[in-house]
Amino acid sequence: MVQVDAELDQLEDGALLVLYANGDQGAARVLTARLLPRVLSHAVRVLGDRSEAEDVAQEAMLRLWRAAPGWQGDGAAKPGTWLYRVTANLIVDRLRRSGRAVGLDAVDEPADDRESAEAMLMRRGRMAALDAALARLPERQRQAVVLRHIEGISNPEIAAVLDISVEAVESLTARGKRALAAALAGQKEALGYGDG
Amino acid sequence: MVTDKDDLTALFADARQDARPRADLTARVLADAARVQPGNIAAPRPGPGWFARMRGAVGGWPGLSGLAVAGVTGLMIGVYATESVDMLLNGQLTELTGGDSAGLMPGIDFLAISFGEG
Repeated sequence: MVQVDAELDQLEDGALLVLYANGDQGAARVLTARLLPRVLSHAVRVLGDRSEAEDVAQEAMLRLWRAAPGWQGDGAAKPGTWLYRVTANLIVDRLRRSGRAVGLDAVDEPADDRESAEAMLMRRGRMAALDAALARLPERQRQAVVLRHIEGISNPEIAAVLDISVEAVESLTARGKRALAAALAGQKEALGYGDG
Repeated sequence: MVTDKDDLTALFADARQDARPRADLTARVLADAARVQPGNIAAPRPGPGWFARMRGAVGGWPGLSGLAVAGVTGLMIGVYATESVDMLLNGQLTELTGGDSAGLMPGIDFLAISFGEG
């Protein structure tokens, strides 16, 4: 199975989705390994709540599976972009429904069990500070900053995800990054980057 | 500004590594994938046949039985029991026809004449 998955891993997302629709469970495993971390990361950073983000990520992936039978293998839409868009909309729904701010305790589980306690605390502190700073940005700006600077996707792709122009994305990310820097100003020591 | 560009870049890099899915979430996502995979969705059951639809329209087996009994009873009355029915109705049938049963079933007289002449 590992051998088969390694072969599938050479394929693009669209081709894997078509294979999944034709009954290949290995394609689902590879797509999950590839796309779930991105979707979850996007949701965690924008929502600032791990549990809610997991629900959103699971729902977004479920929508991808359901969309698979009608997916055009040679079409222009990329599953990754499509999924970011679905996730962005699910996040907006959640934020609007709850209308809540994110607290500093919205941190997740350690990503690595071998991590030392000190490193874990430092990492948690950084992520809590980042989440708190992100939570102060307007929703659109937050989504754009997370997609550009954390997920690392291109501006045209973000424009497709958020359904806005590339110029608007550039403006949102620039303003968002400035606002983040301002929000995190004075926390150099707390962020643990002062030693370097 | 104390937080410089490099700090933000480092923070973003950390965040990129931070939100890795836990095993239980991955398992839930894969279970969803298996559940809704096109080949695994149960084929739709064929619809009911014409007899089942008709039976349903008259209220199932009890309705169908009632309909059958009523039909047979009507037929029996029509064929055999003109006088019995008249008796049950206290002679109203006779009154309606002026005492002439042939008025109700003129064909009977016609047949009697035909057989009598034959």
